[in-house]
Amino acid sequence: MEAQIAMSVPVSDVSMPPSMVQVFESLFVAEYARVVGIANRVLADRAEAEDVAQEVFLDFHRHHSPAAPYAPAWLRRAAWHRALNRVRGRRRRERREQLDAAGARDDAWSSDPQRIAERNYDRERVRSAMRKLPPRAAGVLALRYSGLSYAEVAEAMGIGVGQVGTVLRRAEARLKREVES
Amino acid sequence: MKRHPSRSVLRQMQDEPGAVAEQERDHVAACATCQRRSEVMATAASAAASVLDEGTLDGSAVDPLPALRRLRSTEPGVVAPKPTLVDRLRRRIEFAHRRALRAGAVLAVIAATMGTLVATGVASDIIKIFQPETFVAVTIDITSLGTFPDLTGYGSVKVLQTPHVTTATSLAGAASASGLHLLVPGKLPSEVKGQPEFDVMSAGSASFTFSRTAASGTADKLGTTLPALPGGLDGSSLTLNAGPVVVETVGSRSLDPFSLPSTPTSTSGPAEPKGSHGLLGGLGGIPQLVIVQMKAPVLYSDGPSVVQYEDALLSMPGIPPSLASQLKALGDPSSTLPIPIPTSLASAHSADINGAPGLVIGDTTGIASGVIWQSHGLVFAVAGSLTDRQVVAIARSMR
Repeated sequence: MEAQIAMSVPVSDVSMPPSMVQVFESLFVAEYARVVGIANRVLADRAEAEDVAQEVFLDFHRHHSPAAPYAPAWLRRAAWHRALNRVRGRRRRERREQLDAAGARDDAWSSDPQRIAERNYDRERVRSAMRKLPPRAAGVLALRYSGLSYAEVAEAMGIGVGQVGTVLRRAEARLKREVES
Repeated sequence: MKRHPSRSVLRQMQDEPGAVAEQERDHVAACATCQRRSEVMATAASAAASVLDEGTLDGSAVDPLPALRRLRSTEPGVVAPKPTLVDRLRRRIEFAHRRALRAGAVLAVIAATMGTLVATGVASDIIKIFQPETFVAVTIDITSLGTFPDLTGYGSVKVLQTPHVTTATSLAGAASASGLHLLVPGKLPSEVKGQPEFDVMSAGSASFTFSRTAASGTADKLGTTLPALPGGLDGSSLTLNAGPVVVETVGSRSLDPFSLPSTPTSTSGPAEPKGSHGLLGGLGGIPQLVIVQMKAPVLYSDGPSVVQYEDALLSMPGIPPSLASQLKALGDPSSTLPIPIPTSLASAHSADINGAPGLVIGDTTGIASGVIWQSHGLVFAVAGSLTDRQVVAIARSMR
């Protein structure tokens, strides 16, 4: 779906006129927290979610007009796709696990080894669940649980509003089974 | 309506009841099959929320400005003329600050609501849904509030889904952002002037886990002993889902609907100007009219029964005996939400709002009034610097 959208719109020049720069920055300020929130639902890692948000906005800036009416929906969908790709990337995952094991992702909050272990466990629980779910199920959970309304979820997923309840219900049931299995 | 709504509609009804047709809501309210289906979905949703909890952003707000600077350093094309940028940054910082305040206040409201629900035993058997249908006033001696412990005195509160607060300039915008089908009042009193503004809070969720240790600590602080607890209470959890909420404000906006009023720290300062209206002048202006429309809060329990909760929690240290006896005398605890009314500040009476029982609360000075009622799974409130007759008339005119 992301590819379909990318092909259907004109590609803007990287060097935007000043007015377009302002439009882009307004879009950035308005949507940044949402994009980070969606990515964080999949990654359970604030720093990595902000990395994903950078990639998403950079990609959008290079290929799309900031005035495009589909901009918010595109950004939100891209956040879910990119975050999910990270979780599913085997090499990245292995590297992360090595770093986590070595305690390299240290910060002031998590200097306690037990706390690091608990945090890593919770994080991996989310990521593992997202990895096992079909992409659409993971997407609807990330979008809905980050606070989007059904209409916004529908727009970001490219489905009808009436379908969101079905997709969400199945995703939640699937996630519950995954956790209990 | 004989045909059951689809499961998709049932699921959406749990999050956005206002987006579902009234016929379907009525059907579900009277249909045991649909309610069973809803409960199964609610269980799965609750399980999903608990897994996804780790993906909730922590309390610190996401600040787009450093991220924008970082993007600029990567992508030279993202550069704005300096004066405009400075202005915009200042505005965004102010906006982000207001949002953070609002989010904090919203969580405080959820926690307070939850505290009321817990203290009154408004819980039921596992995953059975509680929705307030009736509001009943219970009087509180305001002097006892100083010793009234908060919810953390009895256990731990955890935010499962952080609500987001946005603003809208039109009813349609607020309806779109919230997913609620918003009602509109009829003719307003002549003193209510100005364009309506809307604040929208998305759905939020929080859980409370009872702790014998915490309750014992509260008992020690109050110089009393913890009563005998029923088996299964220690470690049991209640989960509250609240929102979305839309707050429509007409008139003065000097009081942010999602921020808590500040407490005056000093009685000194400039004299009150002549012509100001006492308390209102001191607060800087209460909005002329505030209309709140929200999905009714829903409470789930994984522990003891409603009777056990009621007996145990109302005997907790710190709950005034007069309040406990009033709460025990209330009607059906699975559908009655008590509203605490300070005896010295306000009075309350009931009123019919288009067939729904409403609770009218008035300031004894006559300066401000409000009414709260529920209909079809939605909770409504109308309040402002109006008389109780005026707020009831506005409530009845809402279509």
